[in-house]
Amino acid sequence: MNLTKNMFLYLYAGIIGVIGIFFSYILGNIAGDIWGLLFFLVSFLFVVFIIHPKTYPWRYIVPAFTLMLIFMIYPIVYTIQIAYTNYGTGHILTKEQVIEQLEKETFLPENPKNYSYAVYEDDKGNIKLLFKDEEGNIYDIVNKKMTVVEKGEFPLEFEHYKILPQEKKFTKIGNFQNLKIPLEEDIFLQLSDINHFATFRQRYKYIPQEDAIYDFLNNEKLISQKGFFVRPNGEEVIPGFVEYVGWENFLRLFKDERVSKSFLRVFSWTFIWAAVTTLLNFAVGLLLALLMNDKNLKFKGIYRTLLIIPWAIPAFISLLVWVGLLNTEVGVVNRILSSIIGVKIPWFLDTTWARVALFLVNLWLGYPYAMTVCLGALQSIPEELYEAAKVDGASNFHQFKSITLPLLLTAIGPLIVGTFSFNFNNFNVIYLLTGGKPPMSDISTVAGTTDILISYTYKLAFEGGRGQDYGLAATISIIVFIIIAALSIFNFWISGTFEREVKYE
Amino acid sequence: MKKRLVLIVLLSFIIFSITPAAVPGKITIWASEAQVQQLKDFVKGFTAKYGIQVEVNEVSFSDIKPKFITSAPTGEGPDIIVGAHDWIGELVANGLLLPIDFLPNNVLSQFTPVTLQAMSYKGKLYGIPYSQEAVALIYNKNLVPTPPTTYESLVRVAKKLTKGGTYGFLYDYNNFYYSFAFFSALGGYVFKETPQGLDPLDIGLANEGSIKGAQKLVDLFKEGILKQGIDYQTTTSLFSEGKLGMMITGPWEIDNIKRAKINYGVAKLPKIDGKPMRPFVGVQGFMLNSRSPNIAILKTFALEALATKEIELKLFEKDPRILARKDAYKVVSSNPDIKTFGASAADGIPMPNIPEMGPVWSSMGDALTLITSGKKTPDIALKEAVAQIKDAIQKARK
Repeated sequence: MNLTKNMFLYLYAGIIGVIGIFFSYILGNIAGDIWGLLFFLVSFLFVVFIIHPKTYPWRYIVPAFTLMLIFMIYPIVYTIQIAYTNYGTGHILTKEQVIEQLEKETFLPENPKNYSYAVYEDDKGNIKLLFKDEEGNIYDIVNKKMTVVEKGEFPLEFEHYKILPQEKKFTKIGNFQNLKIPLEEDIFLQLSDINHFATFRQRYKYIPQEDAIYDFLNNEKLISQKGFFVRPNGEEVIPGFVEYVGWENFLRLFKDERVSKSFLRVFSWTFIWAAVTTLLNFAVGLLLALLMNDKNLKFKGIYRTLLIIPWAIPAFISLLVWVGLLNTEVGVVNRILSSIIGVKIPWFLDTTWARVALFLVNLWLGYPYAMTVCLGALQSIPEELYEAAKVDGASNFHQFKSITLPLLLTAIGPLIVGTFSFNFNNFNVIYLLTGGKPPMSDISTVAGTTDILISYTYKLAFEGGRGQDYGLAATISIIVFIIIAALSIFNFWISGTFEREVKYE
Repeated sequence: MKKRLVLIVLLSFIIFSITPAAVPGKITIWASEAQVQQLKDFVKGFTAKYGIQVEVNEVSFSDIKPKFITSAPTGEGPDIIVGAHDWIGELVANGLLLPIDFLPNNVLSQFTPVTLQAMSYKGKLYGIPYSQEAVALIYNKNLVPTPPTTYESLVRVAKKLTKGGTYGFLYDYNNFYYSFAFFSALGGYVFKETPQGLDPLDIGLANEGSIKGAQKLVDLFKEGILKQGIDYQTTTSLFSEGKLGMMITGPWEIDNIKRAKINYGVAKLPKIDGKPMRPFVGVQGFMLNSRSPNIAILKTFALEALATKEIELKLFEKDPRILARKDAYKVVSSNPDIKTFGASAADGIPMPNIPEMGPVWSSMGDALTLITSGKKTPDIALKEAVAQIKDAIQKARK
C-alpha cells in the first residue's frame, strides 16, 4: 500500500520535473536564460516538496503563493510601475531599443558604390564573399580595403573556398544579411537588397558619457529629453522611448481641466449607479426568492430554471441584443409601447431614460445572481423561528421584518458589498449599452452623462489625445482602486455594525 | 496538485499560442482571412526563385495592429503585416515601421496618388498600398429607379418614400466616419494638409463649410427623412428587409445585400450646391517591420512581389476591392460596383492617419449626437468640439 503510494508520488514528481525542465528550456529560449532558470528552480522546488516528507505543508502553500504572486501581485506591481512612466503611443520601445534602431540607420557616402556579390563556402562551412562592380572588377576585402583579385566573371574557386551555385546562394543569407563589413573612412558595405551590397555610412552613434546621440549626416548632437532624442532645433526624433516620469501622470490628472470639470458629476453618477443598481437587483432578487421559497408554490423547478436564464446567456450578447430592443425608432420595446399607449420613449437619447435603460438592463442581467444568493440564505433560516413567531401572533410582514430580513442581511451583506464594487466598475454594461452617451451638453468634456469612472477613464486614456496613454491609464486605475477600497471598507464597517446589532437582539 | 496542473496548462497555452514570428532568412506575413490563401499561392513564385521561405499566417484583422504593437518591440513580430493606412501614424510613432524609400519612381507612379498619400506620414511613405475603399450611396432599385445626383433630389426622393414602415434615406449619422462627407462637400476638413504632413492644430471642422454641411444634415431631420435612434445596425437591417430606399455605406456591405437578394445599385454620393460630397478614403496595404532581421530580403520582396499588379489581381479574386495600382484597377473596373466605389474614392479624402485622430472620433461623435438630437445648433456644437479636440491634443503627452 505504502509502496504503491510512494511509487505514485515519485512518478508524479518525475512528471513535474520533466515538464519543468522542458518548459524552462523553451522559456529560456524565448524570454531569456534568467526566466528559464527561474522556472526550473520553481519546478525543482515543487518536486522537492512532493517527495520530501518533512515539507508536507509546503506542498500546498508554495503553489498557492506562487500563483498569487504571478496572477495578483505581479499585475498590481506592474500597474503601479507603469503609472510612473510615459508608456503609451510613441513611447513603447526601451531606450536601448531606440538607440539600437537609430544606430541601424544609414546614409549614402559621397561616392556611393553598388556591387553584386558571390557566396563562397569552404569544407568547414565558413562563408566568404567576393564583390563585383559594374566594370567587372572582382574585389576581396583585405584590411578594410577593396582589393581587385580578378576581372570578368566570379571565379569558381577562391583560395580554399568554393562558389555556391545560384540556387543555393540565398540559403546562407542569414549569415551575411545584417553583416556590416567595415571599410576605410567610416564607410561600410552592407546588403542593400537581395542581389547587391552597397556602401553606407552609419547615421547615428550613441555617446554613453553624454547620454546623447550624434547625427553624422547633419553633424549635430541630439540630447535625450522627455522620452525623445531632440535635435538642437527642438525637433523630436521618432520613435520616443519609455522613461520614468515620476509623479507627472498624477499631476497631469489633477491639473487637467477636462478631468476636474466633470469629475464630480461622473463620480456622483458612478456612486448612484452602483448603489441603485445593486439595491434594485437585490430587492427584485429577494422578492423572487421569497416567492420561490413559498411551500405552496408548484412547479418551482421550472420557474427557477426560467428565472436563471439571463444569467446563463453571456452578458456581451444580451447587452447587444438589448441595444437593438431599445432602439428608439425600430426597437421592439418602442414598437409595442407606441402601439399600446402611443408613446416612443427616447431610450439612449435622453439622459434620464438612458439611465433608466441602464438600470433595467442591468436588473435583467443581475437579478438571477441576487435571487440565487437570497434563496440559499433563506433556506438556512431555521423553521422554528417562524413557528415561534406564529405562536406569538406575528403577522407575515412582521415575520419578514424581524426574522427574515435581519438574518438574511447577515448572510448576504458581504455579497451586497461585493456586488456594489463590481457595479462600481461595471465597464461592460455602460460601454456596450450607452457608450457613456448622451454627451453632457452644458460643459465641454469627453465624459458623457452615463459614463462611470472606469468608462470615463478609458475614454481619457485611450480615445483622447494621441493614441493610447498607458501611463495615464495606470495612474487612473490606481486612483479608482483607492476609491473602491475606501468605499468597500466603509461598507464592510457599516454591515459589520449591522451584524452586531442582530447578535444583541 | 490541481493548481499546479492549472499553472502548467496555462504556461503551455502561453507558449504554444505565440504566433510564428520573424526568423532570419525567412519572411513571415500576418494577413487576415480573405487574403491568406491567395498570398500563400502568390509567394510560391518568390520562394521558387530565391529559395527563401515565405510563411503567411492568419490573424484576424482587428487583432493585427494590437498584436503587432505588443510583439514587434520584443522581436516577436512578423516581417510584414497587411493593414489599414490609419494605423500608420501610431505604428510609426512607436518606431515599428520601415520607411519605403527604396521603391523606384517608375513603380510608385503606377499607384493612384491618393493611396500613396494615405500611406505617408510626415512626408515619408510607410506602406505599399494594394486597395482602397470609400462609402457611396447604395440604393434599392425597386424603390429608387434612378439614384439622385443632388442633395435636393435626394430630399425629394427620400421624402416621397418615407411613410408607414418604409424609409427613404437613412445611415449611421452619428458616426463621424459616415457623416464626414457632409462636412467635406463645402470645404470642411479634419487636419490641414501641409508639405510636412497633416497639421494637427489646424482643424477645419468648425469652418463655414463644415457648419453649412452640418446644417444640411440637420435639414434632413427637419424634412422628416432621418429618424432619431438610427445606427448602422438598424440601417443595414432595414435595407436588407427591403424597407429602405437609400443608405450610405461601403463595399463591405455588398455581400450581405446580395445575400438578402435585394435588387441594389451603387451610385456616387449626391452633390451639395454643385460640389461633390467627399467621403473618407481608407487604404489597405503592406507594411514592413522596422525591427525585422530580414530588411534586405524585404526590399527585394517588396519590389518583386508586394508592389506588383499581379499580387493585387490575385487578392482581388477572393476579396474584390478597388485596387491601388492603376493598371490593376483598369482590369477589374468592368465590375460596375467596383467602378462606382472607385469613382467615389476618387472624390474622397484619405482618412487622417496621425494618432491625433483619436479625440476627433469621440468629440465629433458627441457633437453629431448633440446636433442630430437637436440639443445644440451645428455652429455651437462644432466650435465646442473643435476646442475640445485641440485641448485634448495639446494636453496629451507627445
